Amino acid sequence: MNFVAPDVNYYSMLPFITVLLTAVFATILPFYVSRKAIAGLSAVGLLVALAASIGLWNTNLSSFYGAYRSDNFALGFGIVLIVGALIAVISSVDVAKRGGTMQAEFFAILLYAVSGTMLLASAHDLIVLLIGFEVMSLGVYVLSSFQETAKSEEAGMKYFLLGGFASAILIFGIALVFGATGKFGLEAINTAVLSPEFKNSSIAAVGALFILIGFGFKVAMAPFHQWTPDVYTGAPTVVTQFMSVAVKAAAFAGFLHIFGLALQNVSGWQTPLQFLIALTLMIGNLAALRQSNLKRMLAYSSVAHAGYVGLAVLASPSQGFSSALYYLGIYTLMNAGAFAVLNVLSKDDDGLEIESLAGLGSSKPLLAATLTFFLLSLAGIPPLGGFIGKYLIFSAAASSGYYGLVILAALTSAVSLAYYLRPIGLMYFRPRVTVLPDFSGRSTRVLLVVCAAGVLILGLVPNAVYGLLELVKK
Amino acid sequence: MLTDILLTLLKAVGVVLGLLTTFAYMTLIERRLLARFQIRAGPNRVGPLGLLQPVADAIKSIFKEDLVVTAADKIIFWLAPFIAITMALSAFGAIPAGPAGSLFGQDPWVFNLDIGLLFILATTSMGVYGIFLAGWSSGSKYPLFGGLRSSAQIISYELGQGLSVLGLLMLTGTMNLVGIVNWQAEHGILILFQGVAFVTFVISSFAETNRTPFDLPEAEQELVAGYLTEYSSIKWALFQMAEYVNMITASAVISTLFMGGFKGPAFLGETIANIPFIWLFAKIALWLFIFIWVRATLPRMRYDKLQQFGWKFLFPVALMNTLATAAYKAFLPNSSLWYLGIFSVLVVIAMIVFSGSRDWQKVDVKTRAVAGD
Amino acid sequence: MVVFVILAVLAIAGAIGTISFKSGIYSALSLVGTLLTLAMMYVTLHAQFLASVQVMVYAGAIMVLFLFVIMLLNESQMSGADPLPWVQPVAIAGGIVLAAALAFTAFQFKAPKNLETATAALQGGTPGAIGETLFTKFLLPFEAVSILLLIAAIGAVSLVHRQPAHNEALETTSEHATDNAYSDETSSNPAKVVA
Repeated sequence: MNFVAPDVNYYSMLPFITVLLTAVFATILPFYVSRKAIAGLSAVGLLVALAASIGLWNTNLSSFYGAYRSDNFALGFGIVLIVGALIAVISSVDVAKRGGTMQAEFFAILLYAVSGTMLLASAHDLIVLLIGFEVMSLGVYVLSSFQETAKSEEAGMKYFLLGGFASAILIFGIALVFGATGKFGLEAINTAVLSPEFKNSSIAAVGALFILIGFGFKVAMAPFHQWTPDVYTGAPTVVTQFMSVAVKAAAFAGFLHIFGLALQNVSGWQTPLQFLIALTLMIGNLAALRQSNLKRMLAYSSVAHAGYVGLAVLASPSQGFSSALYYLGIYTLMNAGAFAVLNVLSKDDDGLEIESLAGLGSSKPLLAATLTFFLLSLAGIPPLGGFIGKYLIFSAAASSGYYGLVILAALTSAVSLAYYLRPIGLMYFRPRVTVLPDFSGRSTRVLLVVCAAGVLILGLVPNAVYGLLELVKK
Repeated sequence: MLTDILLTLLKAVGVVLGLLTTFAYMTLIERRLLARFQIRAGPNRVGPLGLLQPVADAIKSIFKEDLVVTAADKIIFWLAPFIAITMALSAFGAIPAGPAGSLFGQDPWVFNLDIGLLFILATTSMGVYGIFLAGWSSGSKYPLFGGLRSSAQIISYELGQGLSVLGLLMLTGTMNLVGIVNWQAEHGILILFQGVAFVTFVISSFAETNRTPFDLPEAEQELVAGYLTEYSSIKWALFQMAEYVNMITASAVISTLFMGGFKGPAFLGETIANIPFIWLFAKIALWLFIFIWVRATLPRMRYDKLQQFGWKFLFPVALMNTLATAAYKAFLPNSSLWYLGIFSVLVVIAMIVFSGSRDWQKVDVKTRAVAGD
Repeated sequence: MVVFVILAVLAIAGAIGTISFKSGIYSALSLVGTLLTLAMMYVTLHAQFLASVQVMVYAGAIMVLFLFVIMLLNESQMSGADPLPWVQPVAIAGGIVLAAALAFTAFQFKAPKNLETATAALQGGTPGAIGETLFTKFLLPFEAVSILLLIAAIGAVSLVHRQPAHNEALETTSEHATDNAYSDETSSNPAKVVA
C-alpha cells in the first residue's frame, strides 16, 4: 500500500488546538482542583488562543489540503468567538454567588463548543463545516439544560429536538449539493457550478434552500426563530449570553462561507433569503416591543439582529464578509455586555421584569450606565459601535442593489428604538420601586467597562479596525 | 453462473442441516456432561447411551400445544424466534472450513466476504432482536425483564468484543476470514500474539451467546425463564436452537480468529494440516466442551456486577490491547511478533493475579461518593 | 434495477410505517426495516463495509437502545386530544409537495463525475480502500468527529449528574417534587412549542 501522509499543519490550527487542549484539561482537572481554578484555566486558555489568532493574522496558513484555513476571515471570527466565550466565562463566576451553581463541566463543554465554532469558521469543506456545526450545537444543547429546573430542561429539550431537525435538513442540503457537484470543498463547488458541463442546477438550488433553512434555524431567522425566545429565556443566563453571541457569530461564519464562496452562483436561494430577512426584521422588532421581561426582550432583539446580519449574506462577498465580521464583533461586545448586566442583576435564571429596572440609575450607577451604553449601541445610536456596524452592513447590501430591504431594515431599526430606550428611561427618570440584587464582582465590573469601552472605540475610530478587516476579502 | 448459485444453495442447506444436527446432539452432550460434572448419570434411557433422546425431544416439542398468551403482541411474538434463528444460522455461512477448492474442487464455505468478520459481528448483533422482541411481545413482566437485560448486556459486551478484534485486524491487515487463517499459517496462531484480545474476546463471546456466567436474560431463579417464559412447543425449540447455533458460531469464530482456523498444526506437514473440516471441527468441539465446562463450574453473575465487569474491566483491557498493538505497529514495525507475545503473557498473568482483588469495585464506591449519589 | 425498486419500496414503506404506527415499538421496528434495506442498497452499490457498519451501528446498537428506552417506558402511548389538529393535514400536504419536488429534481440528475472512474476508485468498498481515504483525505473530519463524540459523552454524563440549584436544595423533597410536576405539566404542553 502506498500511503501518502496527510497534509497536517499544526501551526495553522494553533488557536483551535489551544482551545481544545484547554477543554481536555477542563474535563479532567475538576476531579482535583476547585471550580474557580477551572474558570481561571479556561480564561487563560482562551487568552492564549486569542494571542495565537492575532499572531497568525495575515499568514494565511492552511491545513488538510485546504479543508482548514486560518485566513483572516477565520481568524477574525475566531477572535470574536473567543471574546464571546471569555465574556461568558467571566460572567459565570458571579453565578455561584446567587446560588445557581455551575458545575465544573460547564467550562469543559463551553470550550468544546468554542472549538466547534472555530472549526465552523475555519472550514472550507462542507463535511468539516457540518461537524463543527454539530459540535457547537451539541455543546449548546447540553449547556441550555444545565440547571435542574423545569424551564431549563424545557429549553434544552426544545432546542435539541428542533435543532436536530434543522441539522437533518442541513445535512440533506449538503448531500444534495454534493450530489449535484461531486465536491465538498467550498471553492471546488463554485468551480463545478461555473463549469460549462454543470447540469444539475435545480438539484443544487434545492440543496441551497435546505442549507438556508438549516442555517436560518441556527441564527434564528423568522420563521425558524420560534425556539429562540423560549430557549433564550429558559437557559441559564450565562449560556444565553454565549448562545446569543458566539453561536450566532459562528453560524453566520458558516452561512457566509457557504453562500458567499460555494453557492454564490447557484440561483434560487436569494429571493427566499430576502423574504426571510424581511420577516425576521419585522417579527423580531415588533415582538420585542411587546415583551415585559428583559431576557425575553433581548432574545427577540437577537432575532432582529440576525436579520441585519442576514443582509450581509445577500451582499457581495467582498463587502459582506468584512461588514458582517465587524458587525458581529461589535454585537458580541454589546449583546454579551447587556446579558452580563442582566446576569448580575437577576436573582435566578428567569431574567428580569423591565419595570423593575426603575431607578437603577441612582442606586447602581455603573451597571445602569453600562447597560445604557449597550442598549443604545444595540439600537444603533451614533457614535457607538452599533451604528457603524449597521451602517456598514446597510451600505454593503445597498451597493448590491437590495434597496427595499435596506429601507425596511432602517425603518424597523427605528422601531427598535422604542424598546431599547424604555429600560433606559425607566432607569434614569423613574423612582426606584423594587430592590434588585447586585451580584457583580470585580471581574464583572472590569468586564463591563472593557466591553463598553470597546463598543465606544469601535464606534469612534472604525477605520482602525475595519481597515484591518478589508483584508478579509482576499 | 446458475451452477454457482445452486452449489452455494446446496452448501447453505448442508451447513443448516449440519448445524441443526449438532444442536440436537449438543443438547444431549451437554446434559450428559453436566451430569458427569455433578456425579450423576444423565439421560441414558432413550436408545443406546441415550442417543435417541434428541429425537424424542424433537417429537415432543413439535407436538406440544403451541400456547400464545392473550396479552402477547401476536405478530412480533411469532416473528421473534424466526429472527433469532435466521440471524444465528446466517452468521455461520461466512466461516471457512478448509483451504480454497478442498471440498471436491469447491470452496468449503458458503460465502467469502472481504468483510467476513464484520459480517459475523453484524449478524450476531442483529440476533439480539430475537430475544429482545420475544421479551417484549410476551406481554408479561418476567420476559420483559429478560429482554431488557439481554439488550443492555449484549450492547455492553459488543464493544469489548469489537475492540478485542481490532488489534488482531491491525496485525493481519484483513477482515477476510480466509485471509486471517492464512496469515496465521504463515506467522503462527494469533492466540500467541493477541493473548489479551483472546481472553477478552472469549469472555465477551460467552456474554454475547447468553451462556453462564452471563445467562442473565433467562436466569431461572429470578425471572422464571426470562424471555422464554411464555414460549412453548416449536417456538421454544427455535430459541434453544438459536442459542446453540450461536454457541457453535462463537466457537468457530474463536477457532478461526485465534487458533488457526481450518488449518492443522504445521509440524504435521502441509497435506495433513490442509485436510478440510477435521481441524475446524476439532477446535469447535473443544470450544463447545469449554462452554459446557464453564457452565458447570461458574455461578451466574449479579446483574450490576455484569455491567461493571463489562464496562470497567473488559472494555479498558481490550482498549489497552488495541493501543499496545497500534504502538507496536507504529514504533516497532519490522521487529519480531514475539514482543507482543511476551506482552500478552504478562498482561494475562497480571489479570489472573489480580482477579481476586476487588480494588476496581472500591474505586466505584469512591466515585459515587464524589458524584453525590 | 428490479432489486433497487424492491428495496426502494421496502425502504419507503418502512419510513412511512415509522411515522404512522401508533405503537412506539412498531415505529422503531419499521425504522430498523428501513435501515436494513438501506444496508442492502449499499451492498448493491458495492459498498460492503458501509453496509455492515450500517447494520452493526444503526440496526444493531442504536435501534436496540431506542427499543430499550421505549420498553423501559412501557410504551406510554400519546393520549388525549391533539392540541393542534390542523397541523397533521398541513404536514401531510407539505410532505407530499416536498417529496414531489425532490422526485422531480432527482430525475434531472446528471452524474457530475465519470461513474466508471468513481466506481474503480471505490475498489468494491473494501475496508482497505475506505480506511486509506478516511485517514488521508478525510482525516480532519475523522478527527473532528471524535470531538463530537466526546462532547456528547461528557454532556450526557454531566446532564445526568446535575446538581440541583442551591435554592431548591433547601426546599423539602416533596415540595420539590410537586413543584416539578406542576411545571412539567405546563411546559410539556405542545401548544407552547409552536406559540
